Amino acid sequence: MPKQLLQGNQAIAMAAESAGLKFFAGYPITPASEIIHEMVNKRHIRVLQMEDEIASINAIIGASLAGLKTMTATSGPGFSLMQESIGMAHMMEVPIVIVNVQRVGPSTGMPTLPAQGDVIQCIHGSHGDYFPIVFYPNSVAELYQYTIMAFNAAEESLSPVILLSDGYISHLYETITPSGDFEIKVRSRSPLGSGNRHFTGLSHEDSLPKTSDVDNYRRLITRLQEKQQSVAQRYNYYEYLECSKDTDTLLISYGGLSRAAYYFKNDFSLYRPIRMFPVVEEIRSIASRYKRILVMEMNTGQYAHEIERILHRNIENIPILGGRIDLTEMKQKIKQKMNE
Amino acid sequence: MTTTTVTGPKEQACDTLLAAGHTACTGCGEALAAKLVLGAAGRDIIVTDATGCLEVFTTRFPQSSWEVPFIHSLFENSAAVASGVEAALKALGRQNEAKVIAQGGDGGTADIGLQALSGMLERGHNVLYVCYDNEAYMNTGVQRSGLTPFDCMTTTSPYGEYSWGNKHNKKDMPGIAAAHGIPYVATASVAFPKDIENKVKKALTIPGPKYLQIHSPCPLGWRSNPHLTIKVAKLAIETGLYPVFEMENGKITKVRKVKTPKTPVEEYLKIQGRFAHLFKSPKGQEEIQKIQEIADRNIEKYGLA
Repeated sequence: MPKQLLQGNQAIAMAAESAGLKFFAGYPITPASEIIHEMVNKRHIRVLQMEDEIASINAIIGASLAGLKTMTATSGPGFSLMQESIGMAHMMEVPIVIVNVQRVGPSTGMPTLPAQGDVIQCIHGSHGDYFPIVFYPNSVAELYQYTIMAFNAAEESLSPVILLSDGYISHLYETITPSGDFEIKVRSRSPLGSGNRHFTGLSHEDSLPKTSDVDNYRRLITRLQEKQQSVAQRYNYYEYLECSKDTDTLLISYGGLSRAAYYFKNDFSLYRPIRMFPVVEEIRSIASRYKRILVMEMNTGQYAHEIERILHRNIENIPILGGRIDLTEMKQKIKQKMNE
Repeated sequence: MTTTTVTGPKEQACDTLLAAGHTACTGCGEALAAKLVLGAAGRDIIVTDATGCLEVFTTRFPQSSWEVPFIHSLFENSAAVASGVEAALKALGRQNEAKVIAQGGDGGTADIGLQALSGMLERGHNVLYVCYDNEAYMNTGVQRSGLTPFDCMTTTSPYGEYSWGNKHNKKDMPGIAAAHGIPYVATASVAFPKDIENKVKKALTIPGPKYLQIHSPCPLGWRSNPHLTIKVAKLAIETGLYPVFEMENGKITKVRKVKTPKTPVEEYLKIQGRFAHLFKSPKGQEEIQKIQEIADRNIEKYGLA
């Protein structure tokens, strides 16, 4: 394919089409609306504009069970509304893709500056235990690539896969070459027909409800967890840039903010998770080479806490809040941290 | 027990309760409608407002245009927050000190906010709900809503080889509100400011839930000339496309009649870019005819002739 100048959200829509998307349901919200605008102009994708985000996610769950590859796209407020149904889709093992283009929260926040405040919500937003696969690219080309990965991972894991973006990269225009080289996983489930098939959010065995059997519930959750972990391992995506100078510090950042973090590549080693969850195992061996670990993110320390929990060591976090990405401020905050 | 003042400041800060200097577009029908609603309601009110254009253009940092207590809720919950405010006033024995007005746009009312509104109407809260109807999601980039009219072009109902625009008919929100058995339902239009004021004043004298829907042209989303806002609003009524009426206890008690001979819908459609595609090809005439039939049905249903 020739080179194209694309907006991040356009790249998501285009990649979704190449990945086999056939049904999209959504509700207007900045900074994600361009995705539905693109979708309504695609002849072979069925689009429903729903009355809210609760309806949107449930429509794609229904359409997925009925036999289509499906997706919705939203921002933080809509993602919050979807949470109960995300848990349901995990319990029912429904392959769907959810795009969350993050903006400043909580609530209406600062419409609609970029943020990274929904990181933990991706894995703990719904009640109960579930183990989602989450990708967070940092360029228009990567949005294209990981949209396709998200569809593939959804089919392989039979679960909702989340593609995180933010108002910064989704509204960025970059020249990319949309590639047709990616493997596209085929539809994993046969569509609903006339046979007897049962789907439920209740605890179940062989898809039939089993709500008072404790051992069965434990087996179910263990099976779901192991399945998610094993599928995730096929998508071990991260970026590690070892500093050419001798440094004892590893700087972790991701998404839109990590674009600015490249500026520090001659001072520190850089690590960028792309598969955010489950956390990529390699972080353990990479981190072991450094005395200090800084996590810079556009929230008050959501991923820093997760890394701290996994590495069992002290992590320093640098919050960049309020949607402003400013190198001078970042430099000063890092310097201050290094002098502490 | 300490008490605080529920009502707004007594000093006259400005001429209207919706202060000037907000950032609405030139020719915004919604800004005019909100100013009229507040003016008629007076100072002793508590207002809730769903996310949307009105909230955005009246609350630009670090200022607020609202000279009365104002709660910006989320998108879907204006009516539910208002229910809580009203119930709390009752619990405090202060229900006579302030009236509660819940507001939303057409998306915040007919789509995402419908459940909260239905609950508020069903429970019988003493709240006036005002829907500012500009017939699409203007704040997020002109996407269709449940109140977008038939064949209207929006960013999610584009015109093209396979589409004439919005496939669906405008949702009958006043009918849905009335079906809850509430005492007062009315529609109004910025074309007739006095009528808006009268309806707000009347509604606030009636106990229980009230629903008022105000047709508010949006030059940006409708692609109409900003200086024609009032003319566009008038034509919507004169063609029968936007019936203006009052419904008390389920019965229509008053309507604004259309002139005879009736104005063809083309007069309304042709001055708005959102319908321009209907005039581009001969097949568009068939679509215009369908819209004329909608107007004719309205005239018959509401007795507008």
